[in-house]
Amino acid sequence: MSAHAPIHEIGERHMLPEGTTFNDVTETVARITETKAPRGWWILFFPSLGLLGLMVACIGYLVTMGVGVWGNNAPAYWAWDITNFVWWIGIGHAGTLISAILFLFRQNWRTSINRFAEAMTVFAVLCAAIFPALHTGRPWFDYYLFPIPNQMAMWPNFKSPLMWDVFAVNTYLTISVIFWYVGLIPDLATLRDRSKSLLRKRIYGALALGWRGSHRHWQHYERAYLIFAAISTPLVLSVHSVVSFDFATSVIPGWHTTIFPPYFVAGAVFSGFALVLTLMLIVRTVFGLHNLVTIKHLDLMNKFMLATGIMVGYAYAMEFFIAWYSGNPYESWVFFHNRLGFGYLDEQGNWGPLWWSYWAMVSCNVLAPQVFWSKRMRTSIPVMFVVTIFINIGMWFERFVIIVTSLYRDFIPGSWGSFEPTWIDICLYLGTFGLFMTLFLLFVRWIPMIAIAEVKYTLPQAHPTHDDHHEEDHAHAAEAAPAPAE
Amino acid sequence: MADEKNDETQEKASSEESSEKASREMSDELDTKAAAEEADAAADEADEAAAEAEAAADDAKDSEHVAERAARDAEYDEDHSESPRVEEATAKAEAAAERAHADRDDAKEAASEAKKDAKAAHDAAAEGDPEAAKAAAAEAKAEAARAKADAKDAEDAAEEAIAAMHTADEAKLAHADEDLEPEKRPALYLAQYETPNELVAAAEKVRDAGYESWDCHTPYPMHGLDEAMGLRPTKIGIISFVAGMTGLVTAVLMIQFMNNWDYPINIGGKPVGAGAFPSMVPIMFELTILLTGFGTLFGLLHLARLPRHHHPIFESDRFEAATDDKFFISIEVEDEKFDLDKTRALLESTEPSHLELVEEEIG
Repeated sequence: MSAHAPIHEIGERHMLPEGTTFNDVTETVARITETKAPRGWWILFFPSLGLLGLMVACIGYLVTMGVGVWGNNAPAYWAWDITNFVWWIGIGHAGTLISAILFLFRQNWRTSINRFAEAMTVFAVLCAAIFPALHTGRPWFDYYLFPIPNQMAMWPNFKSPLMWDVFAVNTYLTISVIFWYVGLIPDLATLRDRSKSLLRKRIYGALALGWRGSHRHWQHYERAYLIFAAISTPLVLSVHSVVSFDFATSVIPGWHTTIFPPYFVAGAVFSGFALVLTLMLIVRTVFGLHNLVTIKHLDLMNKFMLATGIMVGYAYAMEFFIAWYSGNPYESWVFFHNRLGFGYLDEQGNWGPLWWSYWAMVSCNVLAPQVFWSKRMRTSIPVMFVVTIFINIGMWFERFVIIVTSLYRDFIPGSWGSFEPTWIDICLYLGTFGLFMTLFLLFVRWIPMIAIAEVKYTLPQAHPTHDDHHEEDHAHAAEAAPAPAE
Repeated sequence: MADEKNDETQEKASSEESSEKASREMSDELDTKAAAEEADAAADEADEAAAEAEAAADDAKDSEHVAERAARDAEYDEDHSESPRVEEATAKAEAAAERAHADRDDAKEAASEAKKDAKAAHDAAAEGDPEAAKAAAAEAKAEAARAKADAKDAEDAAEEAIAAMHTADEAKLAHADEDLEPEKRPALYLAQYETPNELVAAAEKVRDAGYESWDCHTPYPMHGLDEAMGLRPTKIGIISFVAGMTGLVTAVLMIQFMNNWDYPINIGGKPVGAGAFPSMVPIMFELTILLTGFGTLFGLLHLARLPRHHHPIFESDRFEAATDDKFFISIEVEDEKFDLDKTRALLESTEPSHLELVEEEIG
């Protein structure tokens, strides 16, 4: 199918090294789940397990003591909890973008990273869900969030963006899991067929649902995959849009802006790509996946980060422009005093005390990715590792800036306050890394972390070379055959 | 002088004679003594032979027991199995046991004969009849040899009985296996191809031959197979669409019921009913997506008839490569056109790298 072949005239090439066979792909990916974990895996796993324990302890303490153990206060009613929620949700968006949007755009290079990114989506959304669930104050009443009868005989308020968030995040989690699992079925069948032990055969066999690579199934499967991609694309755009509605539908200066949905989505993709890349660089080295995740893949991902970083930078600039152009003094105050620091000074002549967080955000998110204009930087692994970590930090600060610097010094100076995180804020945030990394490490160990069937699909020898003319050849042969008899 | 000489001579002669006689007597005496000794020795040997014969008879007795036990075991097998081979082996074991029994009797008899002869040899020796003693001893030895030969026969017979018993056992187990192993019937032909081009060419042949219950198996979705197999477009989109619309309608009805009909709440003076439409959009959208997702998942499982873990195609070990790097065509017996010979011929004409008939168990 020429539509899938690279266009040599414009410099396109196959992504994987020449001569990669189907069996090479199977071996490289499946072997990871069949051999002993490399030492690097254990070095990551034990600290992750420790952090997971820390998270459980923190949640236990918080549930026992109440949300007062967080640093949230009046006026900073939302702080690290919602920052972390938005940050984790955003991380997840890269997975869906890679698996769904790049699929619709026929970007075959996605096949080397999509499984991995989808897994991250699922785990990141799980981490994200912890924070609002705890922020309700009495998490054992969280079922009030769902439209089921409760003892108050009241229904949820569907006009609230927080309610929209409940639906958006749960739908996102469910669809991500289904999409991920459907993609996994053929690869689980591969693991089943390679199993030496009965236990493995049973477990992978049960999960593979008896998949037998039947083309009658593939036909439905491919269409189903397309449908999943088609619904996930608006879904992923909607989820972070709905998250941004949590802010945008309020009347707080700094939140009440119409640019929020696209700005949040671009930021989500930006941060998601950064974390995918950070982890991919580690895993690629630990498990030796250099032939499947090539430097070309990394180069393309860096281009994505450069592009989304510029979008985010544009949004930052546009917010300032509107703050000035609208002539709204409260808006200007938030942007120039609370965030930028030195634009407006308060009565004592002080800068906004959290000015540094804004500048951390700008330097990490806007300045750092600019190195990716250079191809040398885009293909240098140490450089991209450092930059992706900067971006992860910067995107966390972006959410912190949006939430806390809008709240801590608003309309009335008498209600001004500040925000200091408590140790439980910090430990809970670190703890969610434990949950994320533990799940992630178990995933890379036991589940094919690269989509085996999808990578095979993109190999040059994967499809028949003569199918376009085959029918004609047959017709010609039929016509030509009687000729000698005449 | 001459007389004297004669006398002397005579004397000499007589003395010679007497001395000769004496020496003859002496040698006779010696002979008798030696004969007696020989007779004694012969009698002793006869004793030994008799003892050996008895030991052989004992061995024969043991062999007979072994043979009998083997025959009994074989009989047990026969009672618990209907295999003709068990019957045959049991008969053999029984015959061998009988032979062992006869051999044992012979050995016993020979042993008692040997004992008798040995006793006779002793008696003869005591009576000073060495010839008789020797003869008796020889007979005892001969009897002992017979006893030993019989014992050996009994042992052989016992071995034979044991071998027959083993045969009976094996025959019984084999028969039991035959009972346990369910009958098999052909389920499908499985042809293996190495390249996509071969697969597509073969698929077109099978399609043109008019088969319906057949399939291609590939490690990834391959282009051009839809046409090569003559498949109609999938209908999964319809299922997804219906499910999605169900989600949309559910969202509208749910929100209207909860916030308008059952328990209207005035929040910020915002309208209820149709006026609430803008605030309903996000949840209408999310539920549409959610139910489309479920519809697509279950639609896929329904159309593919999955999960199904017992498909006969998994009986083929070669088929494990279908999720790795090989391509397969399967034609199932359910197909109306399926014919063991004609279908094989068709598949062989497509030049597969392997062709096998996969069987499934009945029941």
